[in-house]
Amino acid sequence: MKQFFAELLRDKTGRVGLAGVLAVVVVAVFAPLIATHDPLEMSDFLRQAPGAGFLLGTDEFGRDVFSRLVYGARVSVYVGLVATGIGAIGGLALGLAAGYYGGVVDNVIMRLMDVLFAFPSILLALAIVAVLGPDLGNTIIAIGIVRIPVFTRTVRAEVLSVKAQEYITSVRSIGVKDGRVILRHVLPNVMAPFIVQTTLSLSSAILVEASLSFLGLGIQPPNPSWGSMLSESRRIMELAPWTAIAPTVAIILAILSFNLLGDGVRDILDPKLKNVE
Amino acid sequence: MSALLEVEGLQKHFPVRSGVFNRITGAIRVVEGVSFSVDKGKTFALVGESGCGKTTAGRTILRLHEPTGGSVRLAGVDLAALEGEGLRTARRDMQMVFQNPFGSLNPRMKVGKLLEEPLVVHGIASGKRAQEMVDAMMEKVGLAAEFGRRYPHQFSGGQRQRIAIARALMCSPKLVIADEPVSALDVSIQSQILNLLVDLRTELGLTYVFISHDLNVVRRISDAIGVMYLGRLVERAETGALYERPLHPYSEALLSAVPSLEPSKRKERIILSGDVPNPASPPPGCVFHPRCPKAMEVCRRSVPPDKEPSPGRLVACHLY
Repeated sequence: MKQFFAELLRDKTGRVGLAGVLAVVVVAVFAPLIATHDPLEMSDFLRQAPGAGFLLGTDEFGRDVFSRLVYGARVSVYVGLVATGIGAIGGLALGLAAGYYGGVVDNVIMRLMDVLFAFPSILLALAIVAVLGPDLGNTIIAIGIVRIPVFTRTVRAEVLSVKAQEYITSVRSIGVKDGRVILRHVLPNVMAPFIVQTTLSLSSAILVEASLSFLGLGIQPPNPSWGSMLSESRRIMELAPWTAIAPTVAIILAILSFNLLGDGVRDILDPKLKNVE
Repeated sequence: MSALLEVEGLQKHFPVRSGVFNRITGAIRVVEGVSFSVDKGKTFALVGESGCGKTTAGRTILRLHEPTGGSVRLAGVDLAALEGEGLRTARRDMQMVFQNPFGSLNPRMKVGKLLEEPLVVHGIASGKRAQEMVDAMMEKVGLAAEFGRRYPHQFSGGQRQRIAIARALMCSPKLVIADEPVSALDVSIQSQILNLLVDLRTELGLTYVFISHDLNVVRRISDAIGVMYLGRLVERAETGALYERPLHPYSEALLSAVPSLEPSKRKERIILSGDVPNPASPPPGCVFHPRCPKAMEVCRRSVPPDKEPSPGRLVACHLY
C-alpha cells in the first residue's frame, strides 16, 4: 500500500490527479469553513461581477457563486462516490457470477447487461429518474445502475482469464467449494482492473449527475450543485457570464483530476492495460 | 496386495461444436479406453509425447474433467458415481501436483495460507493445530517454517514445486497424481524433487500416478509404465521389463531416444516419420500404423486387440 502511493506520486499524471481529487474532497468536506456566504442566502446585490465582496460574483438572486460552488462540490463528491459504489458492487457480483459459472448464468446476465449498455447512459439515467421521481437519492440510484454494465464486463473478462489459470484447477482438485474459490482465489486476482475501473468511473458519475441536474432531474433548487448552477445560469449568461464559467470550470477540473488519477492508478496496477482505450 | 486405484476403459471425449445452433458435430477422442491399476505404495507412470492425452487422463481420473466412459475406483469406491458433497469429501484422498509451479499457486495468497487451506476446507484442523501441521509439512518437504509468511513469487521454481507438493499432501491423501512435476525445472533441481517424491512415498505410504514424457525420470521413480499414443494405452509393463525389451514399435522408438552411458547397450535410434494424427479424425485400424516402421496390411484395416504376451504385460499390436 505504501509502495502503491510512492509509485503514484512518482508518476506525473497520478500526482496531478491525486492533488486535484484531494482538493475537491477537502473542499467538499470543509465546505462550511471555506464558503464565505450562506449558499442559499439572497443578498440585494444581483448579478454582481466578481470582486472583493463576492469572490466569483453573485447570481440572479444575489447568492454568492463561490459559496454555492463550494457546497456544490459536496453533491458531486457524494453522488460520485455512492453511485460508483452501487455500480461497482453490483457489477462485481454479476461479473463474478457470469464469469465463474458461465453457461446459462453467463448468458442471462450478459444479455441483460447488453440491453442496459445499448442505451446512452444519460438517457437511461433520465428514464430511471423519471420513473422513480426526481430527488438526490433516486439520481444516485439511477447513475449507479447505469454504471453496472461497465463493471460487469470488466470483471467478467478478468474472471475468464483467471479461471483458466492452473491455480484455480489446483484449488478445485483440493475440493474447495465454489463460494470460497470465488472469494479467496478469483476475487483477489481480479482486483487490479476493477480498482482502475472504479477510479475512472467516478468522473463519469460526476458528469452524469451534472447533466441530470442541468436537466432539472437531479438535486432540486434552491440547493446548489454544479449542474443545476449551470442550468440556472442559462437565462443570464450574457449579463453575468461568471455564473456559467465558474461551475463549468469546476466540472472540467474535477473530471480531469479523477481521470488523471484513474490513469495513474491504471499504470501502476495494470501495466498490460497501458495505452489501451 | 490389493490395487488402490483401478482405471477401467477410461474415455474422455471433448465435443466439437459448429454451426449457428452450436450443435455437437463431432468429438475429439482425447482419452480412448485407458485401463490400468496401481497397487498401494507403488508408482505407475503414464508416458507419451505431447498431446497424447496423458494429462487429460490424469485430470479425468481425479474428476477435474467429467469422464465420457469407463470407471475409476479408488480403494474400491467408484469415483464416477460420486456427486457434490461426496465427491468433495473424496478429494481428500486424491491430490494432484501440477506441471507448472509458477501457475499452480495463487499469487495473492501467502504460502502458509495456501498450505492451511486444504485443512480448513476439509475441516481437519484450524488455528494453532493447523499451523503446527503446516510447519511440520514444510519441514518435511525441505522448506523453512518462516517461508510461510512469504508469497509464491518470492520463491524459485524448485521451492515452489516443494510448496505445491506440500499442499497436495496436507490432507494426507492416498493417491497423488503428479503431472510432469519436474519438467518445468532445471535438471539439477529435477533430481532433488524426484528424491523428495520418492522419500515421501516411503514415509507416508503414498501411491503415485506419474505423468511424464521424460523416460529417464520415469525409470527412476516408477514400478510400472503405461505408454500412451493418441489417447490409447499401446503398452503396459513393469518398468524393468519395458526398458529391457519394449514390445510395441512405438515404445521401442521412444526408448531408442533415451541416451545410454554404456556403449554396448546403445541401440540404433528409431526416428519416426510424420506427426501425431489429429485425434478428431484418427486413422482407421491401428492408430499408429501411418508412422509405424513395422506396419503390415492388417494394421490398416483392423484395430489391434489388447494381448497379454506374459502375465501383467499388455500390448496392443498385431505383431504379437
